[in-house]
Order: sequence, then C-alpha cells, then structure tokens
Amino acid sequence: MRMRFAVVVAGIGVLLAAGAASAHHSYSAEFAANKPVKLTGVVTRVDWKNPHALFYIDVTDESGKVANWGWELASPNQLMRAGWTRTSMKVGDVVTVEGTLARDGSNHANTRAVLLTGTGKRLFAASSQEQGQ
Amino acid sequence: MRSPRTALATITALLLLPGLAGAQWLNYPTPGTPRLPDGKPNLLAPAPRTSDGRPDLSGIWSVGNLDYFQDLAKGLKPGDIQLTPWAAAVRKQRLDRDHVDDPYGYCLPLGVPRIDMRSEFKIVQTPLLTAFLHETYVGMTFRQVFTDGRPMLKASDNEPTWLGYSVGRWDGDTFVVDTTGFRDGGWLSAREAYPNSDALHVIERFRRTDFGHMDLTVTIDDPKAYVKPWTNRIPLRFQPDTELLEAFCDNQPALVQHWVTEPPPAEPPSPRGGDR
Repeated sequence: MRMRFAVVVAGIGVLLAAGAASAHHSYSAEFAANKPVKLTGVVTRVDWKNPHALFYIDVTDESGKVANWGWELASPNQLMRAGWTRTSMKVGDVVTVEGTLARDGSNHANTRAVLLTGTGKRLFAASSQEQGQ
Repeated sequence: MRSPRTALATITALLLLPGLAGAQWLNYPTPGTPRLPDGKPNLLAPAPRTSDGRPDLSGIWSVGNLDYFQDLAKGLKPGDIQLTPWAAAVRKQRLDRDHVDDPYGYCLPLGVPRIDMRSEFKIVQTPLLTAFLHETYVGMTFRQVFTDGRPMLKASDNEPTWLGYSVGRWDGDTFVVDTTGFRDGGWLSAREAYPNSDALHVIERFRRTDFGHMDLTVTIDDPKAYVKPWTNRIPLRFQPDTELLEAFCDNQPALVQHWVTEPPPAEPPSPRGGDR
C-alpha cells in the first residue's frame, strides 16, 4: 500500500508536468475559471468513466446541513498512466479538494488538487482544465 | 533460444513491475523490445524490419506532449501558414467562442492528423493493410491504411468522413499515407482552431529512425483553407511496456448537464467547387 501511495504521489509530478494532459475542450462551457472553490468532505462515490472521471463528496456546513458535491477529474486513462488506481480514493475517505466552480451554479467543480485529510497525502493534481481552452 | 543476458533483462524488467497500477496490461513488458543490461528498453537500438525488409512501424507510439495537438503549426514561421478568408473567418469564430464548439468536447472523433497528436496509438503493420488503433479519450478509434495497390478514392464521389480514406505506400524507408475524403469544417488544432475543408489532402510520412523514435512529417494540402500547402515535423516516441486502454464516453451526460453555452452560430461551409 505504501508503494502504491508512492507511485500515486510520483504521478503528481507527471500530471503537473503534463499540465494540460487532462484537457477537454468543453472546459470554458462548464467551469468559471475565476471562481475557485475549496471544500472538505467524505467521498460518497467514484465514477471511473470517460472522458472525465467524477467523484462525489458529502460536505457538512456549520449548521450541520449536508450537501453532495461532484468533482471532475482527468480521464481514467490519464490517471492510470500516472499511477492512479481505482482504489486510490475510496468511498469513506475524507478529502480536501480545491478546484473551480461550474458555471451553472450547481454543486459541481473541476478538480485541481486533492488532499487525503487522514494521511496528509496529496493524491494527485489532475485537472480537466486546459490552458487556453 | 534466448541468451542468458536477455533472460536476465526480462526477469529484471518483471521485478520492476509490482506495485504499479496493475490494471489491464498497463505495465506488461512488450515482447520483442531490445533491452539494456538493467532491463530497461533500449530505445536507441536499430529499428526492426519485417520479413520483406521494410521497416516495421508496429507498436504503441505517442507524441508525449500536447504541443502539436494544440498547434499543428508549432515552430513554423509566420507566413508558412496562410489562411484563406473562409478559414480565417471560421477560426475567428471558434476563438471568439473560446473553443466550446470543438467536436472533441462533444465526444466526437478527432480528425486526421489531430488524432495522431493527442494520445497513444498502436500501429499494426501487415503487408496489405496497416491499422492505426487510437486510444483517445472519447472512444477508441481505428484507421485503415490500405497498401494493397488500390487507388485513392475520388473524394467528391464518396461520403465525407471524420477520418477520410487512406492509402499507403513506401518511399524508401518512409511510409507515406495519403488521406482524402474529409468532412468540411474539421479542426486541425485544438487551441489554435485551424479549420480544414472537404478539399483537405493530408500526407503523413512516417520514418522510424531507431527502435524508440519516429519522425512524422505532416503536410496539409487544402486549397480552400490555406493559400499554399504547409508541412510540419512531429517527433513520435515508442511507448514500451504499456498497452492501450479502453476509453468510451460513458460519463458525458454527467458533464454536459453543467454546460452553459449560447447556441453556436453555424460555421459557414467552405466555398463550393474545388472538391478533390
């Protein structure tokens, strides 16, 4: 398991270096580049699908109200080639996620960075944003 | 019979594998790959040849970056690529709308040659047919390049397609692929949004310089879109010890529901006439 984490962390560099490798061209139709968001929650679902994987977290606000948020990742192929596996993030994991809000105002965002809160490990920095797209 | 050194290299390569993502055959050693004593692929070894003496292009290849996917004219001088008024207008509209009309964003195929620039693809070379198997992230896509002597199709007599109709031939050690019969209004580049018309003739010249490297020289000959043909050279890298992965657009509805776009004004078709 430790080795798997090491590989995933090493993959961060790959994905950062690739930068736009997780690109798709609907980015500006879907996300507002000037609206950053950072939330902490519990993973409820991971959809390992193309063209972008999605994961969902339950976020509890100060009043105790729970909202479910969807986070868009790179394609599963790109994540896998960077050392990511389907078990790198599991339902029940607590994560802190940074990214960009969807333009439609829903609980949906593009992922820039993920921190596994329990271990302090930064899982990956896959984004579906492509510079200039 | 394998030499002891080859056997040792294979074992070393296998020992390096555990712990990596084990999905599919992502890290399975590619048979026939020459190896260094430490088991790593020897990418500077001579290019292999088929039994008939031709260079063997078979294997998984990738540009390894998105530079040419974004801009097929990367590195060319101003003036090397001159757009016709139609192409300039179409490109301006695409840029003004921040690329949201790129068919790739709608899980539609990348055209030729853009499909060579995006992600891994496998060449399967046989005497009468060379197949290009493209992973892409919007559906696995294949191209057939016929080398059985059939003539190029007269594109204007045939249904225009995303990938066109391709025939191949050998020019010395260079595999030359001619493709025509494209849909009007394709995208040659993502960020730079260069269009092509239905008169596009793409010439791809593949020359494997050693085991791990191949030059791809692409010529865009499209008189409706460009005042003169233009050519760029793109280095390809062999991808050893990996495999293509499945990729179909099964998550697109979950993404599209969040899109906010104005209806696209229709891009004007290229001027009629001049079809090939």
